[in-house]
Amino acid sequence: MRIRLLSPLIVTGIFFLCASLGEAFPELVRHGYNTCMACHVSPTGGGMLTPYGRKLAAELLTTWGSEASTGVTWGLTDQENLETALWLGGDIRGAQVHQENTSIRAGRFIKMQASLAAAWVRNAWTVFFELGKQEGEVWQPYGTSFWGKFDASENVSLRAGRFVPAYGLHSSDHIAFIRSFTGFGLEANRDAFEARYATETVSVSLTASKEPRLSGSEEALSLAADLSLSEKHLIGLNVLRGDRDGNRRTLYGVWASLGLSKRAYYLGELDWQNRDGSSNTASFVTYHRLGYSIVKGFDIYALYERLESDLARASSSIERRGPGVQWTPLPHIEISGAWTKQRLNAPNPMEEDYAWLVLHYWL
Amino acid sequence: MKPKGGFMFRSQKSRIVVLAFLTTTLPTLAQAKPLRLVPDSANTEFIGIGRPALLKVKGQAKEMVAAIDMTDGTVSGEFKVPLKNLDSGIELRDEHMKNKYLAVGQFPEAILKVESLKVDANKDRKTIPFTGTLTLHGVAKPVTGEAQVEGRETRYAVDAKFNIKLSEYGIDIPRYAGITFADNVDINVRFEADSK
Repeated sequence: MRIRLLSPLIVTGIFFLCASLGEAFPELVRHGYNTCMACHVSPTGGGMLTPYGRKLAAELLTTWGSEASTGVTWGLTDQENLETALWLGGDIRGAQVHQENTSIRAGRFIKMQASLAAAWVRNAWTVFFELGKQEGEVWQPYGTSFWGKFDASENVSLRAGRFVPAYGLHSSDHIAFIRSFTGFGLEANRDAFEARYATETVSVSLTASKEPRLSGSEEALSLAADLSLSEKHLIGLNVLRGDRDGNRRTLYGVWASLGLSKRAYYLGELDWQNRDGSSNTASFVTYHRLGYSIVKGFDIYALYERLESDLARASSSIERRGPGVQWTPLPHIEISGAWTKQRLNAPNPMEEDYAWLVLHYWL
Repeated sequence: MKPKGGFMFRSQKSRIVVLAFLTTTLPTLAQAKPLRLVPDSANTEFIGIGRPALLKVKGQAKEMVAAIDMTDGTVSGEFKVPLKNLDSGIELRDEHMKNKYLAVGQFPEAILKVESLKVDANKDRKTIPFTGTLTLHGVAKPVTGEAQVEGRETRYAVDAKFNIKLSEYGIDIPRYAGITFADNVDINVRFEADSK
């Protein structure tokens, strides 16, 4: 009985792991980086790095990084010459998941992602293209991202194509409940048009998006805004209104990315969702991560998250808490993982161990 | 016979004492009185924007050597900030900033000479315009700014802000991996001084 109950959980966990293949480090706010655009090609963060992001990875994120080794070819070619023509990138990612309780003890390795990306940046124009594969339950071509961006001015940009709309913390925690809850998990890329206004302290993105599915795709309008309270304190709020086959959802939330010191940081997000239509439910998710950098590139953190898929039923909640590590020994290589206690407040409450280790190579 | 009206001296001796007092004290009332920089109170910050990412770059130096005088409620002085310990929070950026752009080996200090900053003792914080000369990278240029000054008996807290253009000081505009630093940089100088 329990095994039958748990199997979907393993699948769900894998699903979450594959979710959000974007990679961002909002904890860099502790070094004064409260904008994604300096390090990522996408203005909303995650994924392919800019030349500046590559160099910063060596300087701030890696234990034994050197400026030369941050390029696509590890310094074998003149990176700057290469970058004048085209920016290149890509990711290979895999994870080992472990689940253990009184009924089962299961582990599995998942090939999560393999992709190649290129960006052409000239004056006010950016054209981005990514092609790759991702594993759900089977290894399959995954949501290719492609978009063009025009910077109408220093503060205003317009973007159209297929990409993940701005919403919430763009955390590198792939398993976090917030990713799947918000709908920006697996196959998060959407056909979208985004208008963005940004200054050094405020950014506002308005996005109209549609899931690229043949049927049952959600059409949504979302607003994401963030405000720098200081160089090291960033807060944000988001609203999304989506329609899928006559069913409407309203999603809204707040988040914070706070540098507590040069070594310590806090990331947190809360989201609420109301669904109208065939299922009238209200749900809630929260995510909190308190991290500390022991040495450059090696962070430990404490994680707490809670998902309540139906606020009317206390038994619908899942809670997860535990320690984690994130280590980037060299440019291009990231190892992260956590060992959590997961509590399911189902009709028969149960606690189990849930752990994951993610290996990531970025080109 | 008593003189009519005015101040009356009872004797020639009294007149001499008062005159002697006035001649010795009046000049000193207009003389400059040195103020002492309160230890560990100084902080000099710069804030600039990197484009196109609108990246805010902030750095600071906590050391300062100052010679400050006050004359009739007007502060003037020379503030020297050693640039070798300028810290922007990222080692590589500091290295580029100090060696490649500011050339601190050749020009180790930024010197701000403030000509007139009028302050009132025992007043709440208020904003006062000031003028001065900043010597940076071996180039001296006039600067104007505003200072918030709070006076408490013999102690003054000063928070001065002004803006400079790097190009006017012969400093190359910093560029790194596609990010270009703004020519305009905001400078913020904070310190406390007392007359003890």
